[in-house]
Amino acid sequence: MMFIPGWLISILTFPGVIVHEIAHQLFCRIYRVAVFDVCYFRFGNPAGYVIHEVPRSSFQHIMIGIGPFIINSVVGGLIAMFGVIPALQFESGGLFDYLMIWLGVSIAMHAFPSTGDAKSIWNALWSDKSSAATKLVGTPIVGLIYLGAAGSFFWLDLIYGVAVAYFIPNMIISIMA
Amino acid sequence: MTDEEQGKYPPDRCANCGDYPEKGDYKLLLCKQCRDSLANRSFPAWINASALVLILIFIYSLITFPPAINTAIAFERGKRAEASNDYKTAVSEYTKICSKYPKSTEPYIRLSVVQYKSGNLREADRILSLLEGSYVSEEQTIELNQVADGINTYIRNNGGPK
Repeated sequence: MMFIPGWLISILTFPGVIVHEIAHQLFCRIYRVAVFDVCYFRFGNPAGYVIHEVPRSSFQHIMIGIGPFIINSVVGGLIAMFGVIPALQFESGGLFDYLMIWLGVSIAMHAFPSTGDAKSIWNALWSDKSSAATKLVGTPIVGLIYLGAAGSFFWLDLIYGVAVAYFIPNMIISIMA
Repeated sequence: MTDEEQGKYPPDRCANCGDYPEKGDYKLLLCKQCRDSLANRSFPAWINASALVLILIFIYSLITFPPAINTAIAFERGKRAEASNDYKTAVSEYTKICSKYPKSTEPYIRLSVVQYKSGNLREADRILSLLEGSYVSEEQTIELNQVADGINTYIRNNGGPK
């Protein structure tokens, strides 16, 4: 298995890191959660972060945590869609098409919440305020996030990015045909 | 907000400005104004500029995208028609793709096969000759060889393709 340092992947796919942090910030805005500091991209670990107050409910905490999964997947899939059809399906792509694929895959592969996000959701879930239902829904989500983070060692994030970029357009075509 | 800043005001006041905090189930006491301004923290100019560029690219792509998606839909319809032995429809759908993406090999391969299956051997033979020198997979090679063999057998038996 090829090992590439995380910081190099972050540099190569920096648009995804930026969109990931924007997604956290957007969800903070939606739930009126005070944001104290945002780093959209930096050369370090983590490559970006959003520091915010503790949300009022665990649900809000989960939504802020998984916000990038929703935003990065949708934005990445939509952007890559424009390049995938000419470049991959009909081998007739130009520079612009490949640029769109790189941008889309970069964004989609940063959809997985980080282990930091998972830790923060976990703490909120198991606080006294959390209801049993929230714990029931939230715990598998945290498990999936950790699984995704562990899977990034096996390129799961890249596989997910490529899958989003390739399968979303094909799904749309299949429905429309 | 740093720890030093948080300790600047009495613990029952807004941690940011010392005003009366808003009511609610908040762990951190902040007045309405401070919470609003921190929650709606503005994006830096370079993020706004990048988002604008991305939106422009998106609009441009949306404008140029319909022909590409129409071609992809035609390909899907062609494959479905071919699978249900409706070769006339398949020929019509694959032809659309070949004119849009003349460098793409797969639609030409499919077109050659369905032309052959629909009995247009001359056309199948012409497309086969266009594919000469192209990279094709093993599976496609087998399929194309079957078409070529079929045409050759017809020529041997009848003196020329119809």
